[in-house]
Amino acid sequence: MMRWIRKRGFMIVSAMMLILSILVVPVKAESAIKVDIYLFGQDGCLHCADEKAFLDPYVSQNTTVQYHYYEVLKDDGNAQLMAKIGVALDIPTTSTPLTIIGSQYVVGFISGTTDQQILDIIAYYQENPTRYRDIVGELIGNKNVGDIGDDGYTTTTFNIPFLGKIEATKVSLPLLALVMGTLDGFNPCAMWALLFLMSMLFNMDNKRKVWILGLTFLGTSALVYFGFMVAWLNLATYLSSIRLIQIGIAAVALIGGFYNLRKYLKARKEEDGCEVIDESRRKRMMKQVLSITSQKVFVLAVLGTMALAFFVNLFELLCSAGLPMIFTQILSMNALSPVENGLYLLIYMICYLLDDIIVFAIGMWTMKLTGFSTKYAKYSHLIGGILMIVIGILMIVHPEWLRLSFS
Amino acid sequence: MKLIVITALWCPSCLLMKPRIQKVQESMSAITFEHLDFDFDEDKVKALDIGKKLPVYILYNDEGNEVIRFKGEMKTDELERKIHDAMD
Repeated sequence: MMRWIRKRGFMIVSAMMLILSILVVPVKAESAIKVDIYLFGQDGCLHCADEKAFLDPYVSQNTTVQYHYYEVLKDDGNAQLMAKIGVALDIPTTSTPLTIIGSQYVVGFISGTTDQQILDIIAYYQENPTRYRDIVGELIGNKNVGDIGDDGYTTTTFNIPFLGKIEATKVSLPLLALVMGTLDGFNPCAMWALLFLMSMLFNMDNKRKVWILGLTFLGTSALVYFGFMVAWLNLATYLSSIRLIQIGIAAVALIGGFYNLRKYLKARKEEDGCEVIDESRRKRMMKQVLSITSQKVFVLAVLGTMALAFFVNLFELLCSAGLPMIFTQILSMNALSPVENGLYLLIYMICYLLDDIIVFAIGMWTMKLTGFSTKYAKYSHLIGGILMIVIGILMIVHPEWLRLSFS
Repeated sequence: MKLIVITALWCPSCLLMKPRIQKVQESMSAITFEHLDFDFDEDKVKALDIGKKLPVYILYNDEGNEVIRFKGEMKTDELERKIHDAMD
């Protein structure tokens, strides 16, 4: 037993740290003032309507809160006010709904996530009245707001057993992108296609062609996966306010998680080695690779490589057990700016392709293909399985806990 | 004696095992090594009914009877020991 723990200690500690970084308990703060909520929205905006539907009954039941709605699409004055607030608070004002409370802001609205964030901010100011400053009210009254300073509010403070308070949110999303992308990268399909392609290309004895075709394969793989994730993120951003969709994705995470755990438990008892993929798919892949390497017209070989990477990665999406879908769902729940979304997708993408990039780089350096143990793929099923189950449960029980990063 | 080793070009474990198998081959001159590719020697490999894990090693005695078969990644000395044990 001790030997087992010693051998897998690093992995167990990593898995526990990862789960703790998500399963953290927000710190509760400890006399009530009247708090103003300013909501900037657009007529016809689904998320703005959702937020109004949340705020209307909440404000009518809470006399310590006032709420002001500003339509920015049809009313230029309101749009100018929003821009002025953006400058004063140094925040992005490109998307709606935009909610300002004191000097805090929330972009977007997702039921079960952003509503909790709004309530947290209100609770913070009511518990810390000296920290509250109605910045928007001052701007509307044409006062000079001067230096706004730090009001001390942070939803990013978490209590982690043994480690105490940790500013977790700034690191959680990049960490999650890193972990999930790496776990997804252990998926063997694209690696196998790359290895087969490179071994056939090495026979051509033309290093320049191997470089071009190898990089074409990696570049197309990145574009296909990135394209899928951007498309899913856009869909998720549009649909994420629908609770049923969130539960559907949670179900995918749970099924994927248990599937991964089952794979780990099965592989644990077996020898480390390569699993032979389905015969018809393998033959199709080989036929495609052979047609690339025997192609006399180089441009057609490049196009063939792009087609190979496209189909291999499309299939890889199916055997990824929903990891990219779950990650984009978490991004949409955080209502980030397009730049932040792109950055996190890029981190995911790089980690996803890292093993392929390493194999390709070493192969090109030595002109010899290097093998690696498949035992790490086995542990990726264990860690991936636990992570997906934890995320699936949180999506159903505490979706607000998946709000991992705030600007 | 003869050892049939079945590998595939797309298999990272097979690539990992390649230099190790080479080492064992050089140190065991009493054994004839036959290398089969899972995809390019399809008929021969199918006849051996090796299942769904690679690489696979099958040892035959001088009479052509199968003595032992095993599969997967292992260190050079482990591979050597397995073959030696089967020969004894």
